[in-house]
Amino acid sequence: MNVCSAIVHAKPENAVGVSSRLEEFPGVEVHGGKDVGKLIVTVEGGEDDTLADIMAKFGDVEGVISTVMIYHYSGEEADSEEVIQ
Amino acid sequence: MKLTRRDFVKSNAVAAAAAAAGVTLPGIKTATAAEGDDLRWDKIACRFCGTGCSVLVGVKDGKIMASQGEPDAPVNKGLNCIKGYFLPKIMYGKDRLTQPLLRKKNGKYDKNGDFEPVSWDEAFKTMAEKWVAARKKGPKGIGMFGSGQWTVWEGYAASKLLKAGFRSNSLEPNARHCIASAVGAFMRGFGIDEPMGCYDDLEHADAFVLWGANMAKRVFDLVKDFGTSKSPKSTRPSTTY
Repeated sequence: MNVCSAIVHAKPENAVGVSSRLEEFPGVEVHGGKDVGKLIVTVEGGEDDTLADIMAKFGDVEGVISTVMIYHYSGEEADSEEVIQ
Repeated sequence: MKLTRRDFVKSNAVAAAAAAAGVTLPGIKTATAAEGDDLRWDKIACRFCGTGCSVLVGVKDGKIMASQGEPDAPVNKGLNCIKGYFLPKIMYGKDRLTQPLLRKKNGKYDKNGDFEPVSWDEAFKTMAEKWVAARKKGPKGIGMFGSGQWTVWEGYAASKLLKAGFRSNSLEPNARHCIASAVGAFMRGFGIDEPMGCYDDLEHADAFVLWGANMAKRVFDLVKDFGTSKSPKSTRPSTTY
């Protein structure tokens, strides 16, 4: 299981368009922050350098000002294990 | 409510990013970022560049599983960069040096031999022999090359050891080669030594003039509000690399 979160900066007026362009990447999900131009993004799936490669490509997406990584989890355990019921 | 490990990890990741961005998300409690997981969180310094970011690492069974920008660090304030992605990974690279190696030919030390694994005893014994032999040439027979990343106390100890202990002036840090040239250029160009400002100055600046560098691509953890609502007039910096 390989999960990353990042803040992607964009001008607030461009944020909706930027969100949909980011979500075209495999495993990318935008969770909010459009109104202030700080998109809360997760990237998941893939092994080794895949997530870093995807985040590096964010810089070439139209309307993206910068990308900062925040959190990265890389574990070998089963991701479907139930932790809370 | 059923929550898989993936859901749990993802919600921690989202909470950490939202907290660092100062964004409130419905259904996400920012306080849950490191709560309830089975990781032990320790603080480390990122050594990939000179910015000086603090990073939290989550350890499980002696292995780093997760990393996160340290929210309380005055430098990066919870942000990380793409290089931080590789911080846990480099710990487990197959090409890491994990034991002493000595150049040998026919089982004996030879400067032109190939590296072979040796015990720490043999490594220290060989180093001591070479040091003693070099010391016989006088103070200039030995020397120490240090690092600008030494702490003040490490530099002090090295200086005392070489100068007071071995009576040698052959002590250099890489810092002299690195910063001395920069200082020369700064004195010549601006009439004053660097550093001319501090990270907080970036927060208070209204405009940045850059050439040959792209802040948004390179030190973005320092300029987290760069180009957003705080500075609405800025445009996307041109790519300069």
